[in-house]
Amino acid sequence: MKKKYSLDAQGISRPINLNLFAFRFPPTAIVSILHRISGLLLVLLIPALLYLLQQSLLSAASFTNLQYSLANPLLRFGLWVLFSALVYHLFAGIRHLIMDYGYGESYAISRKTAYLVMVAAAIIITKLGVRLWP
Amino acid sequence: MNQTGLRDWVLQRLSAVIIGCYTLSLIVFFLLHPALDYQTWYGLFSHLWMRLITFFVLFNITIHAWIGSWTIATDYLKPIFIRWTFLSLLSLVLFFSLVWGIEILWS
Repeated sequence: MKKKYSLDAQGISRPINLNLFAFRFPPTAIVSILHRISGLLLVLLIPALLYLLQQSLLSAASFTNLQYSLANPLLRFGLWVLFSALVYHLFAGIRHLIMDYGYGESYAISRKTAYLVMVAAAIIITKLGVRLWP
Repeated sequence: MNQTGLRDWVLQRLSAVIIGCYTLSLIVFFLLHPALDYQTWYGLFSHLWMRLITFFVLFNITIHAWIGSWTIATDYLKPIFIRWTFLSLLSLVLFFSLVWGIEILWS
């Protein structure tokens, strides 16, 4: 059996292997990590976004072609992921900027705005998903 | 990255506001044109000011993406070799994306 706990200098039992699933994450932490994940996703999707811009502007034929291609369920799902990340990152970013400006920095309020960001983003992302559903 | 990180901090927020305004404007444009056709879309980008603004926003995206990725890489990619491989590849992607953006807007 692997030892899971050790005693620290004060004789208090401390876990050796941190089990991330055993933690309770406050909404402020979830908003923050999702902001990072959506941001990284958007960075990775920059070439895809440029490709969309290129194909949409190249010619009337490529514009129509793009519309046909995006009827493909898989590409449509990709588009939905892209917009979901964008919407979420935008909302969480606005909250971040408002807090940088000095408003809503207390834990009580930042907890509420964290829920607000997640719920508002979830509503728009769901609406978008329904609209893009083939 | 500079000594205090203040410049990065300010650039990250300034670029965020610029990208955010552009994104919201584009969303409003899409909402105003539910059945967007090629003529209208191409017409928007035929203006020099729209191309210049779009390029400016693309430039800000490069800065924003770089600072954000640097922060994330510094936090999670601890082995220095892996971190710098990731950041080097990313800088290449971002640089060529910017060049590609110019090509798209001016051809």
